Amino acid sequence: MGTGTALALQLLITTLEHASELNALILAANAQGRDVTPDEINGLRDKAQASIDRLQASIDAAP
Amino acid sequence: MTRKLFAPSHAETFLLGLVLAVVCFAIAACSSLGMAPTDTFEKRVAAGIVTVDAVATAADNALTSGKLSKQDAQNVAAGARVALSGIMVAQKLYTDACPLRPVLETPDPACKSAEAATKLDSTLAVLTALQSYLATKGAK
Repeated sequence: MGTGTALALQLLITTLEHASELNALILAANAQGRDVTPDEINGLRDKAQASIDRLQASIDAAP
Repeated sequence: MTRKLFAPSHAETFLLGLVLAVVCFAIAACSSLGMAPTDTFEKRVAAGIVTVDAVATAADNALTSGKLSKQDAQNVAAGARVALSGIMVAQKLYTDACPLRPVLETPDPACKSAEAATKLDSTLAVLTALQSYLATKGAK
């Protein structure tokens, strides 16, 4: 498998995992007859920010 | 003599198409295939943030496994920061225009903010471009 194919596949798998997480969040909100709350949005934001910070740490550690 | 900057194989083209389809799947309203539709502003914001998370995680994995260069990873990190910031600005514009209702603690879904919608749409377009960028890197 070429590097580009492997990278595209990796992105696909990661996106599917996160789409599943999003789906669970929305379904839970729908089941309670409400929209996604600001607290839930802030939780997602903190998680995304942590992922960006991890990426930056890996970049800084890379040769 | 001409030189192709990016000449994907059939498998890479297929996978890139698949990735972009999933991006649309995550960002747009997709009620088919069991996915809950992102039919409100707040749900679209949530989808955008989750997509930023996915891009950063995928780039981190690709960098540590040697499939992505340091410079490309830096570009993705910068793009992810811009996208996350843009989404939160759109969210702020929306909550300013559409205050939270008591008890439910969410804005009225019928409330619209053209300014917030424009900001979110443009940021999600940047995010889609960022995923395309990441998907094509490593093939060069």
